[in-house]
Amino acid sequence: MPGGLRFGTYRADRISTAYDLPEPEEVILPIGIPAGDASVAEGDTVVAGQSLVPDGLIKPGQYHLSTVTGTVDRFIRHGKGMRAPSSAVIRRSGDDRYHGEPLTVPTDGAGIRDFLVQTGIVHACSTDVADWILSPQRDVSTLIISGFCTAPQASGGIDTVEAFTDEFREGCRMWSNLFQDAEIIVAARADEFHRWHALELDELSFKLYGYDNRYPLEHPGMLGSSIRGEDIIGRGSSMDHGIAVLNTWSILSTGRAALLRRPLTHMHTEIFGEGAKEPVRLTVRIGTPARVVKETVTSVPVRLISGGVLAGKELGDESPLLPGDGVLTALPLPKRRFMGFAVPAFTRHSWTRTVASALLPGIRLEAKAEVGGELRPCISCGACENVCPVSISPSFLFRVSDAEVIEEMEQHAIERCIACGLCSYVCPSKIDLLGKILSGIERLEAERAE
Amino acid sequence: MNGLRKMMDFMLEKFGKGPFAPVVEALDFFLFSPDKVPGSPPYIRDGVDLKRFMSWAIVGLFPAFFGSIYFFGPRVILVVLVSYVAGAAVEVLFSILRKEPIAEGLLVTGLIFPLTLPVGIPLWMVALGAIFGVFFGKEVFGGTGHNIMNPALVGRAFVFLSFPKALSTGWVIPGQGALGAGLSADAATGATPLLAVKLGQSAGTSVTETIQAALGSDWVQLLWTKGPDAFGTTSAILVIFGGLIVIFTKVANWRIPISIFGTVIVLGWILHLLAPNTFMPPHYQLLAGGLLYGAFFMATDPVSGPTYNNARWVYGLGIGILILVIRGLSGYPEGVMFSILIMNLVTPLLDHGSRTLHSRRFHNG
Repeated sequence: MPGGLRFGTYRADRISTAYDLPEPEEVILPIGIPAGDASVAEGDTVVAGQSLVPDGLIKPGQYHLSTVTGTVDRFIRHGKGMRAPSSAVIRRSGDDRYHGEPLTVPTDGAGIRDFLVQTGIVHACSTDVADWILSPQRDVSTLIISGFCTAPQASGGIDTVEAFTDEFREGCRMWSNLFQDAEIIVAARADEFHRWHALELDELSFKLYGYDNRYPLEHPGMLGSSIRGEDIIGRGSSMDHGIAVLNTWSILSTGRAALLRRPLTHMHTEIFGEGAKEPVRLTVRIGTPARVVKETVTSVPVRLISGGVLAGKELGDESPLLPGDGVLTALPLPKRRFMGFAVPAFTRHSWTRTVASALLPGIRLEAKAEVGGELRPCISCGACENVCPVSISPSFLFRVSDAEVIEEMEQHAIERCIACGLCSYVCPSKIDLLGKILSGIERLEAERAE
Repeated sequence: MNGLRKMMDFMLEKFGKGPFAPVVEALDFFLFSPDKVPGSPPYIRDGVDLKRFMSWAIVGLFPAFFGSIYFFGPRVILVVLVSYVAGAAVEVLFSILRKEPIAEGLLVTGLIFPLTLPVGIPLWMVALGAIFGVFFGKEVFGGTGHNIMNPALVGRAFVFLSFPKALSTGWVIPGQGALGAGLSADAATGATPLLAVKLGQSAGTSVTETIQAALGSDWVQLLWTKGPDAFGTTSAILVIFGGLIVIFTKVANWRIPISIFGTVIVLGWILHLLAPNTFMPPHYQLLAGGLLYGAFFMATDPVSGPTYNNARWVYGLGIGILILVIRGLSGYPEGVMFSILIMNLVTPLLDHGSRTLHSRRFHNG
């Protein structure tokens, strides 16, 4: 791979603490449809595991099941207009254990897909895989389990699988039953193979495929291209090529639901980062507002980032925790430093070697939610070109995106962008290259739709 | 530090919205790093910013700068100061007129330009060169990031063409007597090593003989001090040391100097074998003029040089060939300045070609 970046010394500490987060008074569940289309209305009583969304309207990446027993307090509309998608806010009313019949764990494809929807696991998968579960289009010939993370402060690889081996085993079984003829490959860091072997998961008959610790090798398109030996970047999703990529969190959630035989009401999430008191694994009720996490595990003002600090999303105080939020990073807010550009910066990372940490490769780096400089014009230094893992030209594409030159966007393959964020990360002029390129892609898609 | 912070807050409140806002903001961000957080992913950013980037370019120039003070005395500091003040005046004026931040590129231009001058140059020429370079080399194109030529070289070319006498004769010989020789009116002067070769050719002396007369068999002395020339380029060792700093820190891209050196060594050697009285031997090409300084600090200017690595190889190749051609076949003894400026003009084409060829493979299956 030509680009990419190693963040080795950012890697998160091992987790030694785990506890349950306090139960929230109410949960927020993004149903992804207008309130008027929901199966329930304000004031209705719901029970844990009950669907809030009619069949056929379930949207990937949302959450359609109640995770508590209580009353629908209100709906929060997202965006403008009455038809905008909503979240249901449900106030707990005491006993919110699951009282339904234990679910049967199926072994056939259609049954498994129903199970994944009934238990909410569909929302723990990537959008591509979730779309396939809701409406399978083509056969899957390769199932890749992404068993490593290379982003700063991230986990979700072998560390987590070691903590939940039974769930992982069960989850793998179910997914291999779903994709019966598919080859199963666990993508892992080559230096962690011995830990995978030590799990003694031989009966699952998967192959280990080794990578180094270079971000963003775990991206589905990168994994698919590498394993298939052909470049599938920018040519539809990996599912379009018959490659399903699941991360370990999706597998573990599946295994947990299969062992419990009921819809998930709780999830595990791991918190890392300089803003957390300590790296910790929490058991959280799904739909808990992120502020509850902040109040519990952080000691300084932070931004809470889900899914990796480079390509993830920020969780606002009222953002609910959902199964996709398996790894959170608490980034401290920056302070103004006296002549910050001139300090040696022993704990800051840089693609260049202009910081002292470049001379001390083993030093523990710190991540802060800071831009670290002022916005300046592009000086064409080429740093973004050198790190781009999909070999496009961010320094050129951000300009044609700004100027909305559709032909140039197409000619220079703007759609290959996998939104890894490395171009914006390395830019010394602090230009939001990724944001501009994503706007360009949106503009291109809008143009094509017309 | 709190007092300083309060003072800056007061100044921002007082002048932060007026015409001098760029000046106050520049001072504020120089003294205190910003506390801005990213509005969208990625939520962390690289530890480098343009101030740190440019600071390391200046650190790379330090060996040549301090070496110049050692060789020529404190007048070097005066020349550099005049360059900074004159260049900064233009930059600040344009920032105020454009209502845009003051760019950090000036910090490098202000130092890189005077190091290419003779130490005895009149200070008003230095000021004019700096003003011309910043104005015509940068500001008329839209400021930092938009210029197509290296502003320092534009200023240097202006001085070279406008005041040929000042830049062709009267080069002070380094290390004459005590420190400060450069200030004295009777400081010993002489021809630059490359000019000596040209003058020798005109007088019918072969290139080899001129070099033999100047160096004997001990060409290694060129590494420490090569004789009278642009004061920043006097010591090859110091320039190489600074060059390695900017290469190691990735402030300059290594492909450009390597490409230039490779071309000059390989092609220069072949040409010297074919026409020894026209083309100097490669070691003399490398060490006796401004090639090292130009290759490490001028050609690697990110704004006026290529963005893509493939283009950087071709760019270096072009500079190397042009240096050999100008030095060997033209009437000018030195060719580095014109070679880089010419290749600056070719850079957009090189980048376009590199980008187009690269993107073509995405559409060919």
